[in-house]
Amino acid sequence: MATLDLRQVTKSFGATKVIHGVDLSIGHGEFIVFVGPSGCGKSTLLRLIAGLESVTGGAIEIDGALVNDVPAAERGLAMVFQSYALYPHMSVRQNLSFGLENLKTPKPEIQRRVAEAARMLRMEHLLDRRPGQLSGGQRQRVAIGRAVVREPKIFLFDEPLSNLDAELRVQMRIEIGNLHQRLGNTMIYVTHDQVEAMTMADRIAVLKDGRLEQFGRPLDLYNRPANLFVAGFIGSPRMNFLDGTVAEIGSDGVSIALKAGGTLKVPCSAGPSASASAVRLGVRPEHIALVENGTGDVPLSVSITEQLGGESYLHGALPSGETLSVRIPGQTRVKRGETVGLTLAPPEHRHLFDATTGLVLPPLS
Amino acid sequence: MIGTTDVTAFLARRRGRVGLHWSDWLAYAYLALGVLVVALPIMWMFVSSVKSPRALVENDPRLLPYEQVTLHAADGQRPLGVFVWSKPDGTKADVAFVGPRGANARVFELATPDTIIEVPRTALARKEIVQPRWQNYTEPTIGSTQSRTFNFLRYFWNSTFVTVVATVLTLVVNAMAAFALSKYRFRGRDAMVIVIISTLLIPPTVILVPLFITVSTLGMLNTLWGVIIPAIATPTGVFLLRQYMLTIPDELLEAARMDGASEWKIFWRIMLPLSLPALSVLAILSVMWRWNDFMWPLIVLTQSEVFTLQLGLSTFKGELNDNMHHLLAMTVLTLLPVTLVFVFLQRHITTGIANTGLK
Repeated sequence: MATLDLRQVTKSFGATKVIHGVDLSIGHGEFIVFVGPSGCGKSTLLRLIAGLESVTGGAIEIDGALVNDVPAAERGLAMVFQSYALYPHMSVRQNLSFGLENLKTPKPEIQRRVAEAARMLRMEHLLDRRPGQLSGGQRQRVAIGRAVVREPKIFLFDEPLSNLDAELRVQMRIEIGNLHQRLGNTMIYVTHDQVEAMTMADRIAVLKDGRLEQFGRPLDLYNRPANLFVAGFIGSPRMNFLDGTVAEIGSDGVSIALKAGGTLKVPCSAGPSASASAVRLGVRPEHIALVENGTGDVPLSVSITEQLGGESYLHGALPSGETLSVRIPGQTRVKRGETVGLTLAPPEHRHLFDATTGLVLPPLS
Repeated sequence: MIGTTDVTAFLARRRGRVGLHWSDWLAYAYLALGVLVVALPIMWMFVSSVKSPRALVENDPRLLPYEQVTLHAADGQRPLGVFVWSKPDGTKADVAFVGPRGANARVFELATPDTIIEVPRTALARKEIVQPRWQNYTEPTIGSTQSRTFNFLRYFWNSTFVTVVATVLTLVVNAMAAFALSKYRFRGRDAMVIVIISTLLIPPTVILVPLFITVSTLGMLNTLWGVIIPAIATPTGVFLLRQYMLTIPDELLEAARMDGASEWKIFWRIMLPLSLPALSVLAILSVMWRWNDFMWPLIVLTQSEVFTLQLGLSTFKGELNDNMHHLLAMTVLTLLPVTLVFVFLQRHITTGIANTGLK
């Protein structure tokens, strides 16, 4: 069992505060992904958990025990680094056994675990090579193997796939997923790639500027983003945002007047937003439907069409000048320069955000 | 290792595609001049080290070790010098010199040893052959020790001990300092680096007296440790190793920490092996410094049992007599170890110097 709790964790480097009080509770065996744009503090948070940096305030608990002052070597965690950080002067076998030697593991046990990890990661034939003689994917596997042999309480991954090419990345993603299935350990995975986050995570922690924006299951984040940032960050291509003002607050939802023209009803409660306050409507590209020009909610003058065969994307501008993307299943005949009508999503897929605070207006349940 | 083809390709490198560009001529002329300036004194020393004491005292300018032919007199008492006699009729004959008589010399022709004749000394020229005098090497080393002040083996051992021990300690101590100064964050770290480097600005002669007093108070005069210990910590070494260690990624150390390694273990198992290129540069520099050191051993060591080779060599040059032939031969022997070290490790030192800009 390995649970991890962060309570109001803060971190400052000199006068700069990089983590502003993060609360997280991670259960045993969960696969957690920290995701966010670069500089959001996700790697710092991981290093705080690892013990490579000391926390400025708050508490980190592993299995209920406070580990704030426990050095990295004694926390019983293993980390896979972005640069792999394999010891270049040691063979793969020595790289794998180094950590176990430090723990004074008996020799036969080391050999058994190294052999097992090598078999699991299909790198038995690489054991006597040096890291310099391996390809990127092989190095990645060795780095993971070095973590696996330690049988740690928690695995920490710091953007481990960012140095691999696209094809290998997909493959390694699956391998790490399988590894998690097999080992059942708690894993924390840092990435800036929301696709990795969506595909791998049991739960995702979205971070921005050292703050936790939302923590939840991938589809919850997709379906019910808590704020403008999460809404824009999760999903590809990103959610469209249209400016508008609250026109009428009713019991069955809020009517908004779009800057692009027309009014639209969103089934949500107005919360603190008063009538005529500025709001932003969020609509995902895949929820917008194409209709005849002159009908629908708003017209779109198409500037780019992207045909991928199985699906197509239209990018264009609304009369208000706001840009908007539409995803259409299958292929389309629409060409650039044409104007088409759009219906902006079924009501349950419309997200309304307060323009000043960025928070979502809670949907009517 | 560098292959022969590489060397040929390197030596034959030139700018002109066909034939030699004028800049090639200039470059080769310049390089040849450089080689001569550097190599001539050493070549002269090698060649002179097998010359006889007479040739050295006479400042014989010829390159090869010429020696006068001698033959043993009939009585077997002493060797007689052989001369070439230019006869008045223009022919020449080899004669052996028996003794002088006024402006003439008493000689006999080699074919007729019993007929002593008198010839003018001006008509005689030495008959010489090329004959290296290897005794220059054997006499001070394996020759009889009777009335000999130069004990090569003892000095060689002293020098080797000083060099090896001082180099090992230099590497360990400087690497530890460099590790701390490059990989740990602590208050005053950069100031300390600056202080260490700025000690390079202090001329060694300035600290000679305080250093002597320290060493003498610690009772290390006339011990080899008195030579070794003051030389261990060098700002050059700390700087060189620190700059190299800065290039070793921190993530490797962090990975080792995650692997449960102690800082001590990180130093020995991660930092030292990865710093090997810089360490070998420092090792070569330290070997050269310690082996060739003269001034400090001269001050600390006054008894000949603890002399290093460099001090031993200086004993050949006395107030009353110069054993130039022994001095040169022993200098050659003294040069050999450090030259061999350089030959085997030169690949490291050239890259090291290129990396650090130090020498």
